[in-house]
Amino acid sequence: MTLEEKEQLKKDIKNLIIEKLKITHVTANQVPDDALLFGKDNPLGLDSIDAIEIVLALKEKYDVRLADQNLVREILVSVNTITDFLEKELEKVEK
Amino acid sequence: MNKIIDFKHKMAAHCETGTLTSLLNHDGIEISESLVFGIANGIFFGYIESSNFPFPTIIVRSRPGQIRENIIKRLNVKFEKYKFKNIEKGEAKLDELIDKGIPTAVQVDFFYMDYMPDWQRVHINIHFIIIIGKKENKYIISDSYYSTITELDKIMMRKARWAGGYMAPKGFLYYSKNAPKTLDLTKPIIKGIKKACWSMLNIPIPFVGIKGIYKFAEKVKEWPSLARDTEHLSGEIMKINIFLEDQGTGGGGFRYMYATFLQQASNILQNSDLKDMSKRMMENGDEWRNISYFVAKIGKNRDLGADRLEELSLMIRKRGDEEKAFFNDLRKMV
Amino acid sequence: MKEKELFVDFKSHQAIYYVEKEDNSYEPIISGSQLSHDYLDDFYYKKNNLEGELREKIINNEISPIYYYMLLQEIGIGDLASRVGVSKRILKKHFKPDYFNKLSLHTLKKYATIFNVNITSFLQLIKDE
Repeated sequence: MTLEEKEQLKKDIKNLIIEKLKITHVTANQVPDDALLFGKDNPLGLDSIDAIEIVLALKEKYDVRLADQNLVREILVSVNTITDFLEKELEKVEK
Repeated sequence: MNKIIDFKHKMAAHCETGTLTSLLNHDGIEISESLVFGIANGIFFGYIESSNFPFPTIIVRSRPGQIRENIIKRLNVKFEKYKFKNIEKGEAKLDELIDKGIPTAVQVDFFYMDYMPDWQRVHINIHFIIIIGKKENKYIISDSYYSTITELDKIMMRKARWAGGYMAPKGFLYYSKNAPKTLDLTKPIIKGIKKACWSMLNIPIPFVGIKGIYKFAEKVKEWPSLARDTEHLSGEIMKINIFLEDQGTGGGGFRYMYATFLQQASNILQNSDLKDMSKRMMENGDEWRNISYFVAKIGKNRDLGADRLEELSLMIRKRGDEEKAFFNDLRKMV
Repeated sequence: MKEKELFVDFKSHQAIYYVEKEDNSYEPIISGSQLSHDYLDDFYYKKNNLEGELREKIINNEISPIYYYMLLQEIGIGDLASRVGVSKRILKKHFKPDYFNKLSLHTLKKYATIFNVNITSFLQLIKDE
């Protein structure tokens, strides 16, 4: 994946989160790449029910297998961690 | 301008399935609430710790809105939906639809439904009611949780439709755009069953589905440390009964309604295995209802020591075991 | 569950429950709520006690009316913060009497709408001795 493609992927993920969770008080541009998505006083204000939505949305859009719940905990930390995970998965598919 | 639509009011177990079913029936599409619930794979479980709730909560059905979306897809029916930031536009649209004789479902914060007994009125933004008329400064309402047609004044309706917060309604409304037709339910039932099994068994998140039931069993033992005092703990333990029986589930945390769906499915699909499964699910519902009776009793008696919570935890755990076996068996049958 | 076992005669709180009928078919029926029928008095007992405790705390200048209503109406902190349009951190400040006393009328009106009370009830709570 090129740097450009990765940046686009990050943008897509931010848009996916905002769209799926119907967040209106922040735009995609305002979401920092490394901000914690969950936990106290995070900028997006996501909670555990939102986590379900994100996992299902990622599965639907990118057709990735998220079989292991420990893996899910490691991936859903920030936009960066989600992007890194998807980058690996999408490159697997290309091969 | 006063107006009242000729609409058949019915109580239903759950507001989302109840409003969908009533609107479809009104347009000449015969279907029951339990079939809607099963086809839309409404059955679910989640153990939720979130600052949006004052205390850990259990959810026993799929995400709000999902039942409607699944019904649209699987039954090939049409609903027109709108959301309104602007309150005047949102009210005007509702009035326009009522004037046209179109019964309209609106999403509201249950707290403002002042026709309901006060002890039931809590802030829940995902309640659905059907507006079937207006009279001076009131709306006429068919609410599946109320025994008769009732009314709400416009000011309360405005507060209810535009309450903020978690899952805010934002003036959401929808109505049916369907003509009478007979539905072929075979494929939708099969799809609904497969999806129900998947959502209970396969979502890789530690607090939903079967994993959610086990999480609940484990975490309930920690509730004393989360409560302010014994009285608070008593209230929260007794709330488990409300989540399972009184917040619009049809009893046994939706499991009784699901058993009914499986019985109907077995007739429609001519599949006798499903009849056995419906009985098994009804018995599972009985065990959840026993949990409801149990928490009410121990809560009332303030009998909430470690032993009693361990006993409760074990009862919940057994539900996890049974539902794991159940959904694994069910998925092989369709 | 069989209809006979589940049914409760309680008109003040009724709902639909799915039961097993005499002919073994599963159908919806209207029944009273078992919990409300058996335990409503306990619910009110707890509620009245909590109200009393919280009122004491207001008089002792420990909490604000915001905290009082939030607890009584069982709204989550995240939910209430979102409804009033502030962060959870700021909301927690509103629980303190000193901060509450400086809130604008605009903010108080927002809270009054959320809790479905008159603004005067906030003042009444503080005033009561």
